[in-house]
Amino acid sequence: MKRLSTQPCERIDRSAPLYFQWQGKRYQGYAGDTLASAMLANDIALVGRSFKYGRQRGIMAAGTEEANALVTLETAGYHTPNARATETELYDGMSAIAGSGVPSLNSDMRAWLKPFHRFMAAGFYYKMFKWPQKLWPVYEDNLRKLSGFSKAPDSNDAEIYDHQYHHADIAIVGGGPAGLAAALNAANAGASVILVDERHAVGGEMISDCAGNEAAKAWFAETLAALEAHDNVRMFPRTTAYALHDQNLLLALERRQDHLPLGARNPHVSRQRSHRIRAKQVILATGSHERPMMFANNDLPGVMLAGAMRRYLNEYAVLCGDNPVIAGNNDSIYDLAADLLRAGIKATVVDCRSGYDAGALTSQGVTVRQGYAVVDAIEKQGRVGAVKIAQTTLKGNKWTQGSAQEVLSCDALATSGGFSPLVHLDCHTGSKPAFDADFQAFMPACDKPNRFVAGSIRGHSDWQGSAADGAYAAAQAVEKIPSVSPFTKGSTLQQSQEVIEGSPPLQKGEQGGFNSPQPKSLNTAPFLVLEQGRGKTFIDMQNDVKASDIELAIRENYRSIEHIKRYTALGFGTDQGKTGNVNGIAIAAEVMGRDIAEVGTTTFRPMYTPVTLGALAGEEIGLLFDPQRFTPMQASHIANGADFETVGQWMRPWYFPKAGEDMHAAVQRECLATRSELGMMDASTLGKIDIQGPDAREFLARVYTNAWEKLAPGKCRYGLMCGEDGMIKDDGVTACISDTHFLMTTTTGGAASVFTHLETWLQTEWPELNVYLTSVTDHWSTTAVVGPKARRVMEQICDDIDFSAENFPFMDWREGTVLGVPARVMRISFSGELSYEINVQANYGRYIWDKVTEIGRQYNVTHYGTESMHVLRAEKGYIIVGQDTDGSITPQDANMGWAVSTNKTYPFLGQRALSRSDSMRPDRKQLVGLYTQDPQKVLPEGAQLVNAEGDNAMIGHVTSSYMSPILGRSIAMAVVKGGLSRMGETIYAKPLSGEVVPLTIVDSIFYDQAKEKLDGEA
Amino acid sequence: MAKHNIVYDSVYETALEQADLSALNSDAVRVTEIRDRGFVVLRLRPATAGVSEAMAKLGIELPDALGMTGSADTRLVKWISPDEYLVTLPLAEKDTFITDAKAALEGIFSAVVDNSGGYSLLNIAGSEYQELLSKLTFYDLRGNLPVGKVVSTLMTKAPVIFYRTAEDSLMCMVRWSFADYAWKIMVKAAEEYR
Repeated sequence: MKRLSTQPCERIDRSAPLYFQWQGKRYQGYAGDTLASAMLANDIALVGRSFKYGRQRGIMAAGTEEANALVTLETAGYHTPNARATETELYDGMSAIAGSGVPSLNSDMRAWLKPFHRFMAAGFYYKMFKWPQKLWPVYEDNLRKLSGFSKAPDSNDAEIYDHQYHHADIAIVGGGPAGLAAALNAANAGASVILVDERHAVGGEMISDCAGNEAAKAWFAETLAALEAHDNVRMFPRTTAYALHDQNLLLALERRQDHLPLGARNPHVSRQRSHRIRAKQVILATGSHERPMMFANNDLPGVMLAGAMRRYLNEYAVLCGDNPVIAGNNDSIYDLAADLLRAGIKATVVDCRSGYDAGALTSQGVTVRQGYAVVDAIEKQGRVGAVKIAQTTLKGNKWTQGSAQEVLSCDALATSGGFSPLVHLDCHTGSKPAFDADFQAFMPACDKPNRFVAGSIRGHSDWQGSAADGAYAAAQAVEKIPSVSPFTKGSTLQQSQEVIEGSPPLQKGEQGGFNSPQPKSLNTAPFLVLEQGRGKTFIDMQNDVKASDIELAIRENYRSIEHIKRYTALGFGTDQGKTGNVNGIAIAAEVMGRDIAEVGTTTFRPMYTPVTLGALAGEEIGLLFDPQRFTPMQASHIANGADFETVGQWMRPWYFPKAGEDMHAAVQRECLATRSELGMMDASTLGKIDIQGPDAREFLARVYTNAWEKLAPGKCRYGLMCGEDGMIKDDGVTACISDTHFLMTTTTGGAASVFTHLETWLQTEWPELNVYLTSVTDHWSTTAVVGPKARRVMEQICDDIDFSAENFPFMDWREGTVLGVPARVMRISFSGELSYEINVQANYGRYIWDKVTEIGRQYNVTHYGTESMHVLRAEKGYIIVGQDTDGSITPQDANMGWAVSTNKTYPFLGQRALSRSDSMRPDRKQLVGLYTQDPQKVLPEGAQLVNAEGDNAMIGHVTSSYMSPILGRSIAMAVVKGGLSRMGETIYAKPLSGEVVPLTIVDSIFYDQAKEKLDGEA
Repeated sequence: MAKHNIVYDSVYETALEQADLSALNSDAVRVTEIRDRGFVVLRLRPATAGVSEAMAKLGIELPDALGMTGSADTRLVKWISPDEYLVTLPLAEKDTFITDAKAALEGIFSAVVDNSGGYSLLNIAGSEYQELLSKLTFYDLRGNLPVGKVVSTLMTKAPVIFYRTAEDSLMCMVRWSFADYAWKIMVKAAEEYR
């Protein structure tokens, strides 16, 4: 293997030599090389070890289908596992090591077990390591060390990733002749076009054609220039379309910086970008992958696909062998022989068919053996050194093979077993490819709307046919785009024909139009499945699945190809069986004596090729993974030293520790200060829904369990909301602004779902109600002033509201001006203390908060967060929906039957469900209070409850549990079966710690049961 | 009830008051927060009797679906959904407008809701602003949002309203509580255009 002198259409830049490391040793390549081409140019034959048997493997392909050359690139933050060397563009300073080899590439212990390999067929691990069951963890640990490829990175990714959305009339996948012709034709017609191609530059397989064909070269250059200059066209090279979803959502991964030396990468530019392309029409010009021929030892280094050898020669000027054998079952092998001849190499062609006119080659000294096939490859110094060939005859669909064998020496073996169209994307939306005997391939169904296939995916084998087909597909696609003018549409098809010399003429269709151009046949012969050597014939190179494994699976009665796949691991590797699957299907068909069409394919699912997790996440990582929502007071909370907790997406102050305080100490201080003097809390996060309309009151009566008909303007009421199932869904205080106008508050986390729930009922079930809902959560900011001295503060900051207990009682609200800002002040309480909530437009929220803090200092004001809020409300037995309820708690279960009114004209949501016998069972889990018999013992929330010390039958669990500073003891809320009728009884908690904690069931209102604190100081 | 007669110097802040606005202030991407606008939600069915007279009285016109009417300097009426409109107007005129709107719509099933504190209003411009937004928004802002059109969509995970009043920039309304997130993700996504 070596680099040749300049080839006609090579894509390497000989003026830019690059240096790279492979397995710690320095080598030289050129700009434009892939790692694989540079390795071949440096005569590196061994690139990996196989998954199961540790066999030596070499480069077999030149693109995404590569199964063997999995390498690890770089280290630390740039560590890239399982990169395919064939797709990895070489850059200066690249460091690559093999992704396999235990302990090393040159000496693999799995290979030492060679005498035992014959026992290690498919299913070996399942059968062997079953007994004794308890040893499985030991087996697994050791097997895992032996299996797999590259190591996963152990440090954070140093690079960034992002996404981009695109919209186009036509998206084209593939930049070969079909894709290019389609793009130009569509763009000329006036359509906007996006073309993605996975290689570093467009052209596809056409580059090899250009090497020997001036017309091809000219057409390619002209087409490319026209596309690059076209305003309607966006081309993305290095971009792999990895999924095609419904409504033509095409996902594509662009490698933006992988080809650059580490030092040259811009840290502000994403390494990879996931494009999300929404196109009116999609043209799949994805091409096809060549299949290898099947014979014993077909996995030796030096055995590769014929098309790959051709690409290495024409694109990279790399000769893969001085004495190559080319074996195959279709016409394409002669193209390789011709190209090699141009480079001065006389290959030996072994064609299992007979009848191809190879006179032009044989006259120049190329040996052509028709009616022969390679049946075995022989190793010499770590690579293929000779092949055994035998005569083959095709009768009908059946091959017979002669017993006499002949040995041909060689230093490389290129094979072509036909071509498999890249139907993957077409199949992602559920289409099934169908086997076509003419092409000996599974052809795309292309039966989804607004989708076309063109080029070799449709069986075309020459650039002219592919280009004509692409142009034809574009003409069909633009017909369906309304924004493209009919005049241009009509001329599109004709133009497409004029530009491509030698393209096949369009056939007149029956209805006057044209049919698509007929593909030129490669005369691919049926699959040649040899009888001999199946135990060494590798079908899935990456997972070491042999022909004999497929036989074994069938012998063990796995008949569906999906089962055969899973039993043998056929197609399970990172290459997803791109070269092996169809061969595996052919073997299964042969062994079962069925038609290939009947066996069918396995399911093609996204991703087409592996996609980095970073690209899937894009920019939405770290603090941007989920939105952090802030209240207007956020800056003040930070200045006041708050620790935050996430509630829904909101960042709420959790507690405000002073120097040296932990959460426990801070909460103790905050709670006591609020109960004895003055506390302040930011309540801005609660959901707020403005409800207006003549039927607003009726609407509230239907969505809340309690009564609303008498609530007067200026009043507030606590409301309990159930789902249709009668279970508590949300709660909150609603203020009556006027007879037709209410302001509802919801829980912080429930705001969006409650709003949707209400809108759904209004729009779908009660359209007769004249009610408008508007979310005003963000408009209002809420400062809660809480504690016995709250009134003093309010009187100081607002002089147009009378704050006396008589004139502004609990559960009233007033409109006024607070600190010069228009405000709604609500006297509501979630702590049992005197409490005013000052609601102002968000823009003044922080001003109000800071000013109240300042004025509150004379009353020793204390900020408190959600943790103290939880303690204060638990002391009062107030529930938190989602903590004390879990979607299985009715109002009665929560001991809130007082909030249920069943005599409404129109029943409330959930009312009927509450009358089910199950909703009325006396032994439902009911919300109660718990006292630990040791008052200092704080139960963990979630602790399971049992009736007796020795019991394991759960009767409920702890929902809330705190140390209550004001009571000087622990308190807990819990749901207990039939708990409301068990007051005073002793039950036990069994937390995970293993202790057994005796408890007494008590009322869940622990503090100020007489509500003496509500009006504040006397 | 004591009268203090204190004149307070209230402080008006916007959602991005704390953000470092220089982070998105280059020729490539320039994001500015418009601080002096009020937002009033009008809920009504345009075909209801009396609505056109009421709108005439208010001096505004209801736009068609996805459209807007009026002027950014006075009253810009944006279509949000079949019975929802959002009026953007100078902050100082907001309270009067609300009072007038309520009076004009008296007796008509409707809602007039002040949502002035609900949003941060952003102008997004610069040579790369379309490219930037295409990284964050799945709506085709480049091809399908001409001057005069309004859409409600997402900027990554933040709900936003986009509308265009000039060829070379976009207006974006993001809910107050999401503004910090939207700002930070724009800063991150714009890094490559610095």
